[in-house]
Amino acid sequence: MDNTANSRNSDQNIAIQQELKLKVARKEILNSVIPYAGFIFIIVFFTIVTRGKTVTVSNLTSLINQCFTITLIAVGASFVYAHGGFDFSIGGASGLAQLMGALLLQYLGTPIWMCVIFMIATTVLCSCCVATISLRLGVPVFVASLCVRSIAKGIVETACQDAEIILSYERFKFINNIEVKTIILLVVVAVGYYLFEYTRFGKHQKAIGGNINTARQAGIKVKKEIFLAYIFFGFCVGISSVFSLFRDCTVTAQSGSGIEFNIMIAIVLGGFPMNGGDRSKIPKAILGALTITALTNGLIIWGMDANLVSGFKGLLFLIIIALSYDRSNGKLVS
Amino acid sequence: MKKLILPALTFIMVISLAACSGSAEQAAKNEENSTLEQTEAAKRTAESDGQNTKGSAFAEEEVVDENLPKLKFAMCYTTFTDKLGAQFKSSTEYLAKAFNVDMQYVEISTNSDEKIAMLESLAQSDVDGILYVGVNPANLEALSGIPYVSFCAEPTTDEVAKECAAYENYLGAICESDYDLGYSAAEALYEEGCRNFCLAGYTKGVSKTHDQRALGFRTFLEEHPDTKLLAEGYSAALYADAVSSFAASYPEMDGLFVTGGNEAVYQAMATEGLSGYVKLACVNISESTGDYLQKQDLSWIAGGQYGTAMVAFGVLYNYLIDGTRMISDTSVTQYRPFLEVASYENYELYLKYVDSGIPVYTVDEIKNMIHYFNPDADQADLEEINKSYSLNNISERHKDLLK
Repeated sequence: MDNTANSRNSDQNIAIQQELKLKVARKEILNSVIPYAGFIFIIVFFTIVTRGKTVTVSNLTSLINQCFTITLIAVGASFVYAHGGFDFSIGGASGLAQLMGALLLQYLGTPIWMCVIFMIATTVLCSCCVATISLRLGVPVFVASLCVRSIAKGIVETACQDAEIILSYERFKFINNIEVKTIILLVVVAVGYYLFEYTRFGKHQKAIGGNINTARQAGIKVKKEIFLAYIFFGFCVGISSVFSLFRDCTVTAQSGSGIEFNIMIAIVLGGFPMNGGDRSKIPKAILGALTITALTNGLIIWGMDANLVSGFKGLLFLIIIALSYDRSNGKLVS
Repeated sequence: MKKLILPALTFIMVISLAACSGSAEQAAKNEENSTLEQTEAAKRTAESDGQNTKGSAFAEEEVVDENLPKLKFAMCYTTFTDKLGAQFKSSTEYLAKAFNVDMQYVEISTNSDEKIAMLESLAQSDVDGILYVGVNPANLEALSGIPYVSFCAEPTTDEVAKECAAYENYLGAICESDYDLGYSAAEALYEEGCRNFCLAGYTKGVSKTHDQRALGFRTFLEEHPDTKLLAEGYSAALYADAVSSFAASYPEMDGLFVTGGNEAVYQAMATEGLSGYVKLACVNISESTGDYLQKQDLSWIAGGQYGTAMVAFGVLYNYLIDGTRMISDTSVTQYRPFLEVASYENYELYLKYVDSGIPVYTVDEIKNMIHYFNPDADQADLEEINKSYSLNNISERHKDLLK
C-alpha cells in the first residue's frame, strides 16, 4: 500500500516537474519572441499607416543615422547590464566629452584625431570613476553613477553658462557621412558580439550576473571584470559622443542629456534581463535600440498629434514589457 | 492577474490605434467643433459683457478657399500643453484652416541627437514647410531642402546666422527682443520705486532667450547705480524655489524679476509673505495673472508671443505659395516686441484683444502680408507689422470686431 502511494507520488512529482519545465520553456520562448514580434509589429504597422513612407530608401538611410548613437551605446551597455551593473552617468559623460572636444577644436586648434581620442578618454575616465567608486568604496553603483553624472553635468553647465560652444557645421560636415557611420556601427557591433559571446571577458560578465558568489568561487576576478566592462561601455559612449558632437556642432548645457534613460528603455524593450546573467544577449539590446528608433520615426512620419505621442509610446512599452519582462529576477537598480 | 491585464492593455491599444488611425479627418472635425464651441463661447462672453461680436474671425476661417493648394506645415516647439504652447497651436490652426493647410505639431526633445532625428523623420513625411523654435545649420541640413522659418528664437551667434543664411531653404528668423524685455522689466520695477532686486532665471546656457532676458535686466541695473542686485538664482524652471530662497535670505528685497513665470511663482510670493512688500515682474501671462495684478503683487508681465508664430506662418506660406521671400537677408533676425501688461486695465485689454475668440492677427491681416493675395506686400510690410505690435495696436485694429 505504502509502495503504491510512494510510486504514485513519484509519478505525480515527475508530472509536476515536466509541467514546470514546459512552463519555463514556454516562458523562455515568449520572452525571446515578444521583443522581435514587437519590432516587426511596429515596422509593419507603420509601413501600412504611412503607406510605405517608413520603408523608403531615404528613410532607411535616415534611420541608420537616427539609431547610430543608441545602438553603439547599447552594445557597450550590454556588458555592464550583463553583470547586473548600471551606469546613470553616460549622459553627463557624453556631454563632458562633447565639451572637451569642442573646446580643443575651437580654442586650441587641436587636430581632429587627437580630439576624438581625448573625447573617448573622457567618457572612459567617467566610467572608470563610476566603477572605482562603486567597487573600491562599496557605494551602490546607482549612487556612484548619479554623483559622476552630476559632476560632469555641472562642468558642462558652468562652461556653457554664458554661451553655447558652436563649431562650424560646414567644416565638420564630412564626419556625418552615412557610409562611415555604417562601417563604424557594423565594426562595433561585430567586435561587441564577438567579445560578448566568444571570449572569457563576455562570458565572465554573464557569469557574474548569474551568481556573483559562484563566479567568485569559480576563480573569476569579479572586480577586474566589472571594471573592464565599464571601460568598454565608456569606450562605446565615447565613440557615440564624437558623432553626436559633429551631428549638430553645438555644445549646450543640455548636451548628452537623456541618453541614460533612452538606453534603459532600449535594454528593457529588447527583453535584456536587467539583472544580467546567461540570458543576456547583445542582439536583444540592439533590438531594443532599433525598436525605440523605429517607433519614434514612425510616429512622426505618421503625423501623430504631439499630445498623443507620449501616451502611445508608454502604452506600447507597457505591453511589450508586460509580455516579455522577467519579474521574478527583475530589478532596475542594483 | 497577468492574463487579465494583458488583454485589457491590448484592447486599450487597439482602441487607441483605431482612434488615431482616423485621426486626420476626425481630429479636423473635432478641432472644428471645438473651435466653433470656443467661438460661441467667445460670442456669449462678449454678449454677456454688453459687447457685440461683429464679423467673428472664426466665422471667416470656416471659408476655406478650395482653389488654394493643399499644404502641410509642421510646427516644432517644446510643449503644446502649457498656455503659450496651446496658444501657438490654436493660432496656427486658425490660420491653417483658412489657408487650406494641414498642421502637424511635434514636441522637441532636449537631446540634440533626438532633435536632429526628429527633423530627419519630418523630412521623410509629406511636410511642405517647418516652423521651428530656433535654428542651426544641422537642422537645415537634416531637412533636405524643406523650407524652414524660425519663430521665437534666433541663431545663437552671427556666425551661425551667416551659415544658416547660406541654406536655400532657410527663410529667416522672427523673434521677440528678449534683451529689451529684461531691460523693460527692470525699468518698470524701477519706476515702481524698487531698488533692491533679485533675479530668478533659467539654467544659464540652456536657452538664449532666458539668458538675454537676464542680461537686459542686469544691464539696466548696471546703468542705475542707485539699484542693487542682491542675488541671482539660475535653475531649470525652479523659479518658485528661487523665490523662497530670496525671501529667506534677503528681507530687504523689494523687486523681483523672473525670466519665465508660472503659477508657482505667484503662489511662492504669497506663501513667503512677499505680498505687498515685493514687486514682481515676469513673463508669460497665465490664468491667474489678473488676480495678482489686481492685488498689486505683480507689477509687470509680458506675453503675446503667439503673434510671432502667426507672422512666421505668413512668411512660410508666402514662400510656398508663390516663392516670395519676405526676408531678403536671412542672416538678420526680424525682431518684434512683447506685449507688456503693467496694470489690471492693460490686462483687461489683453483678455479682450489677445486672449479672446479673435487672435492678434485675423486671416485678412495675414493675407495682407502675403504676396499671392496682395501683390504689394513686401518686407517693409512685415517690418511694420512687427514694429507696431502692441496692445494699443491690436485694440485699434480689432476695435470693430469686438465692439
